[in-house]
Amino acid sequence: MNVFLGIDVGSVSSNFVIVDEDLQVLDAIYLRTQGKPLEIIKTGLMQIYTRLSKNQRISGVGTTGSGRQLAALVVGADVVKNEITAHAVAAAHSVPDVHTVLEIGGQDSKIIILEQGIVADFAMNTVCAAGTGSFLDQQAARLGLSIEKFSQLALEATNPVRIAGRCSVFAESDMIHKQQLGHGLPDIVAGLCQALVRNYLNNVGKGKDIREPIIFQGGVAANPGIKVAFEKALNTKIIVPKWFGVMGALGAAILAQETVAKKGESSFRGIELVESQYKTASFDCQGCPNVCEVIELLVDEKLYARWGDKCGKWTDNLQKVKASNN
Amino acid sequence: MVKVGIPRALWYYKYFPLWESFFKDLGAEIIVSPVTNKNILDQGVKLIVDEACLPVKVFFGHVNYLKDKVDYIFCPRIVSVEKKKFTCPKFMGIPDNLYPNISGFPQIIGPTINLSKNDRDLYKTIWEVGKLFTNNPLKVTLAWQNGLKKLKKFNHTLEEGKIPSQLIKLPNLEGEFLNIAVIGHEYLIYDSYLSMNILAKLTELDLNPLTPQMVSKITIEKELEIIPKRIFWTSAQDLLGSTFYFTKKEDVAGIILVSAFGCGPDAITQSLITHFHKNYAKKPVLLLTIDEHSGEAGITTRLEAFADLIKRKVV
Repeated sequence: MNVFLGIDVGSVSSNFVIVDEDLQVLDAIYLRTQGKPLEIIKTGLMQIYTRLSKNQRISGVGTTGSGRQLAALVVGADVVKNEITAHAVAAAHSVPDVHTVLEIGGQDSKIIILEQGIVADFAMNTVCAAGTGSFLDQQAARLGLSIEKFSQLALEATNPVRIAGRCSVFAESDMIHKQQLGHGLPDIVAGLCQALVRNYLNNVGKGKDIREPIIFQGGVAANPGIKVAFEKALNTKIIVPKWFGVMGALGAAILAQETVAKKGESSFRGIELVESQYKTASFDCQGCPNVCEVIELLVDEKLYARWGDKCGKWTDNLQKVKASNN
Repeated sequence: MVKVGIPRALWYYKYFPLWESFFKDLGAEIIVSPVTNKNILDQGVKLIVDEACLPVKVFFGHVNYLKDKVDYIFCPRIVSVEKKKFTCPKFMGIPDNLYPNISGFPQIIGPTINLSKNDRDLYKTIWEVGKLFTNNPLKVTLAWQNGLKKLKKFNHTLEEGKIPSQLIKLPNLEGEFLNIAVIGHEYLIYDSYLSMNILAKLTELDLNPLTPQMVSKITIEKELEIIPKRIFWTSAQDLLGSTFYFTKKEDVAGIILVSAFGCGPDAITQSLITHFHKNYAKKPVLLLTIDEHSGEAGITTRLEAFADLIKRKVV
């Protein structure tokens, strides 16, 4: 039986999803990237392999997320797609008539408007990451709570406090201030959820045609406090899809299936790739005042890929190096 | 020969054919700083107050590059280039910020250009600059007129929908492509380093970038009739008018608004664009904000997703 793998290497988490030929999710793995994308890709693949049944064979791989290029090089992906399109594909697959996708991830947030299953408009946070998963993580840690406990707490609130959500640094001082005044923790956490939602709708969602059906996905959708705050602010029902946390990877897996169906074969490197040693190294090119940081990927001590140069000097010369290696 | 340095930043992208030709005809040797690079940007950021926008910071980096290589630096104080409209206040203050912030500075050629009431004083200003090089007023007038001719030709090329290669070198579009409007200040979108090469990235995605500089002044003014109040800034007026024009043009598939983080006029322009745009056109709009951090991956992601959207395809 042919199965397809989608990998989403994000800033905070890396996700792996396996779908069958009918695009039903068979397995999903959610791992923290912890700044080590290469190791996480290997760990994720190993876990996937130990959990696959004997008759299942990976016949296509797609990658997405901010680490998509790196992941694609390591696994030999059939398709590399930006996370906006990948998320939209997964959303349209989960709720076929979806109109609005609210997505909040580790360091970015986006809104996608679909019409007949195709992206009609989208927006992503600009230069500021306030109100994304990383901030919630930080605040939970500061209050000494696990993120799971933190997200449940908001539901116990009776009178959410008002917190400025414009900037995460100010939001934090606001929270501390409210604590000192003696407000209860649930009210503060709920206030924070409302602030994030306000910020999201005023920045990313500004001027967008937000209509039902609305789905809420991304890692932060695990937080029921945020979902409730969205429902209150928009005065509608919000759907959180079953695979909300791994929608990017699901989208990549769906795209992998479609790509392989078109081109007939997969470029996936197979299980052997987990046995190779992966290393990255970087150096500053001194060729011009741009001083580009060139990054090299070494597979079993052999130069495999190179990127980061603006002029293409190092990327171009890679073929020669590869030829002399063999 | 007297060496005149021209920073490749801000006004340069709008007026360089005029400036280069004018000084050349007066017998000066012109040295233009190179296209912005990391070193120029870092120097600029170090030299000027935090509150300035990125393009202004970069301007100081270019001046710093030129300071030991030239006798004069050309840095006009351009207050207004047309009646009752003004340029950005941050630009007006640049000449005052040069001496206190950069040590060992050469002479500045820094005439004030203010055409907000009338252009009577313009020729006096041109002569004041010209007499640094010659005593012959006729030579100065001819040099100016020749420069204007060059500028006109340059603007004409743009209005024909072509981006001159002296402005920025772009890969050729082959095969089928879609038009896309890239709305942003010329010093931002034509600076390949500052804009993270947005124009080239678009051509690689088979999208043909159209820019505000391709829309004539007459068209812009006509388009702006729907706005009840006069727009205060020349650049904001051009961006707004050209956006309205492109939204109505049928062969334009989408609009990308590019702005530098902290740009005051752009904050207003973009609000007006999103406000009026909704009323009569349904074209996808992408907002890109450029800042000091070199988060090129974020820009690429957004452009790729936008290209998918425009082409209405997924795989």
